[in-house]
Amino acid sequence: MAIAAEPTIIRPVGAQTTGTREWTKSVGLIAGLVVLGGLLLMGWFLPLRYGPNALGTGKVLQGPSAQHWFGTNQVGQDVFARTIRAASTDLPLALEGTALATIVGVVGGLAVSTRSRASEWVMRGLDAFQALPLLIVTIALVVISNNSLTMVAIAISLVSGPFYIRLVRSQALALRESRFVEASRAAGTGSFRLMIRHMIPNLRALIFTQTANTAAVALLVVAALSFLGVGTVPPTASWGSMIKDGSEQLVTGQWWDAAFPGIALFLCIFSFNLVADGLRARLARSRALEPE
Amino acid sequence: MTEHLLEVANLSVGYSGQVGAPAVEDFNLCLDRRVRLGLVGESGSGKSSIIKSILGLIRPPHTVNAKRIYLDGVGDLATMTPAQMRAVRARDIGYIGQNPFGALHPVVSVARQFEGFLSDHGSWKGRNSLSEVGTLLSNLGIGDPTRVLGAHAGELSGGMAQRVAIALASLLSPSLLIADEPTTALDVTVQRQVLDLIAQPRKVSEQALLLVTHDLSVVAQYCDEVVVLQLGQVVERGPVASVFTEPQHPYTKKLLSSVPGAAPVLEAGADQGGGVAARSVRFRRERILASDAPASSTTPVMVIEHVDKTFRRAGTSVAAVCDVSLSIGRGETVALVGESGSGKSTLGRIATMLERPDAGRVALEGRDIHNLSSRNLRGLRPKMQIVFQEPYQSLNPQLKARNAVSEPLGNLRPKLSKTDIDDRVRDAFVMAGLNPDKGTRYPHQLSGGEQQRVGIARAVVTRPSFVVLDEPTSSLDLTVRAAIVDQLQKLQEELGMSYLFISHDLATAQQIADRIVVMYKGSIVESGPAWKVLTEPLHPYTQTLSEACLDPDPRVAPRPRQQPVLVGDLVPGACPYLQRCLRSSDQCKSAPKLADPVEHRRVACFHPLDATSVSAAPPQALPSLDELLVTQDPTV
Repeated sequence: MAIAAEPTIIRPVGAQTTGTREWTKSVGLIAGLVVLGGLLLMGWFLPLRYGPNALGTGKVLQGPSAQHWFGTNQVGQDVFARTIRAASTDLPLALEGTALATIVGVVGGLAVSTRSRASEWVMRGLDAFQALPLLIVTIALVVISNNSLTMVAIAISLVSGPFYIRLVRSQALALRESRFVEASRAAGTGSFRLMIRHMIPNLRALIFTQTANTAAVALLVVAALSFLGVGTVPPTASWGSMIKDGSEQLVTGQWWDAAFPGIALFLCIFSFNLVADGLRARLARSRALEPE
Repeated sequence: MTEHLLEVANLSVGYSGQVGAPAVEDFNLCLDRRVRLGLVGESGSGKSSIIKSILGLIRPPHTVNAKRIYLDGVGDLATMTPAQMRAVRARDIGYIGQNPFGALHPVVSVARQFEGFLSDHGSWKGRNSLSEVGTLLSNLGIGDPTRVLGAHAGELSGGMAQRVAIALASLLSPSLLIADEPTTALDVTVQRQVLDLIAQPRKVSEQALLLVTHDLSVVAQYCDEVVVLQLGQVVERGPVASVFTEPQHPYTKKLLSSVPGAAPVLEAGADQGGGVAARSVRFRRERILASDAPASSTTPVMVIEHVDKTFRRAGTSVAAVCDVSLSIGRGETVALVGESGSGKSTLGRIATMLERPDAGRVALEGRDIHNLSSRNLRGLRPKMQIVFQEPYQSLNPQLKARNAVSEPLGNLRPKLSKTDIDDRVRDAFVMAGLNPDKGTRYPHQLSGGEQQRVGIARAVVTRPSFVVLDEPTSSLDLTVRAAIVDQLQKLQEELGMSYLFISHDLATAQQIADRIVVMYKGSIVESGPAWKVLTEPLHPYTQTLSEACLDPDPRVAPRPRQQPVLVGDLVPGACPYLQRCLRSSDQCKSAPKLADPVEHRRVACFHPLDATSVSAAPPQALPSLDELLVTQDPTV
């Protein structure tokens, strides 16, 4: 049988363009990952001159100096040591919460991605849930659980999960009604295989990007809780509680106790957002649902 | 230099970021007054780029280079500033685009748009202008101009909106009218009405027409001269009569042979070998003559009986399919024809059980399938397949072509071995006319035709007995269309499948089908052998459809067109076609049943036509734009 000779048009999409342009697109992504990874590794492994909880390492409330790079706080602890060490408690906690929120979001979002009555009810339930003052609910939960860190992770998934579910559901609904899913149903593919083969690969870009966004929110939740004195509480070093303690000295001019953990927090959230944007740019070419 | 109205010299258009040859290279054109010129080419031929550069709509970073784009009485458009070009576009060049809704503002009433347009160009004279616009609209065949002027774009039908766009484009009597695929987005029955308005021969006015189209039949019937483009270069130009009867360039010949032609011409041309289309028509005809009756003697592969389907959403309900019965024999092709909203796609989805009917029976190879559970249905799916209209959307962008085709095999029980699957995927690629090496490509790396071939390979890989083809060619280029139709017919001969071919176009349907079933508003209005339905329609609606088929031979005059009747609301219980019918009587207030006035043919009409009345109908047409321009000039 003759093979019809039709010209193949290879459309210029990202996958084909390589070289310098590809690199510049990913600068933000790489920078974000380097900052986050660096902070996490330093938090775990950087040998510190002073222990983060060591008292009386010098005088109290000293400004930044060669000895104490970030100064000391009101009980004389080294702010540099605490800021670095806090990365190893705050970041993993935020990432655990993010992982939980992602599982809730993806599984939940796919589960309710039908136009059935049941999933409509679930969505209305989510509406009601989101109307609750979630931060107060999470504070209550963490306090009741006696500051359990697992409960902090659960709190994060409660704050970020509903939005995640909504997002996955909206795109999954569109995918379910797409022609290629219909073609696959017509080919006799069962719903589980349909999910694995057609839905999830086309949701990948959304999931990656949203996970990075959620991580930024999660870190804020961790910091907010510890600022309010729940979750990670002193003596464990945590950015939120450090900012809280330091903020009391701000009026008297000792800025460093609050500023350095604040900068660290800002850097991390900014990096998570850089990663989210970078992933969006890189994965946009997966062309899920993109019309011709 | 002034004898031509428009002169384009050495025009080149390049798009930034585009690799390879420029979109248009060294294009030259001379257009005289009164001349209707057809610019023909497939997608990527550069026809849109040419008109966009004449209109000054291509902006940096894209580049337009031309020695001159001279419009008589205006000057060299190539040297004009964007502000000057805006005035030119309003006053000297009228532009009608493909999508009429794109030309109309969605949240501003039609009257206000005319007002804005006229006052921008200093011609607004209040109430007087508005009444003149109303007269123009009613001359363009709009029965109720006051209502249309008060309406917003979303409230208009496609045909109405295009008429409004034509009125906007011709309001200031431009000396050049540019129409870019003006009928492609419209229903077939409206196409000719619109073409009659803008492309009648110029008797009175001096306006020239530049008509961009992929449809050669339109050029044959409505243009004086033609320019054929391929990949940004002119391959042939000349008077329509000579180019169409004696094409010189091989590409023109290929294009002409790809037209799904109306019957009489192909009959005449069949002896010379014809093209793909002619060959398939002849093949069909031989088969029909040989069997005489439609292949109904054996057990039908697909039976649809008294099927109903109503869609309900947000309180309103739409009866998409009502009481439709249909059977398709082994190896038979039945074409389902109708305009958009006729329920033809819904019926195709019911036949493959992608949609469950509200009532009625669907049976595949004698076995009822309408009441099966989804699980039991999955086992039968390999026997019935569907090919969709949109080739790109029907492929998962994340899956390689090979994996898309192998998917149906993975659902077969007992499971096939990996080598079996590979072999059968390879076979399917070859059967669909695709090189198996292309299996490693992703959908976006394939051309439209190749994408559709992947869709076909996926449909035939399980060797189904029944395939629904839902407008499989309508989004493809003309030459690709012909090749796909040819491939589908070869496949049918090889595998003995039955096809339900869904189409909005009688000519294409007639080319591939043994039998044609015409649907209107969810009901079957006529069915019969493909041959007869097109040439001797019985139902007035089929007649409208067959009139919409233009002949690709400029020597054959178009079939006379009936005065269009405007669509009103559906009367419950009455004949669905009542509102548009010229032959209606009091009897038509009750719904007609399908009857067989002639052997093998059925029609749902109290006043069916007979073959002679078709040609006897007197030609009645509205005044053309050409005549209107002289009598109607709101700026004066």
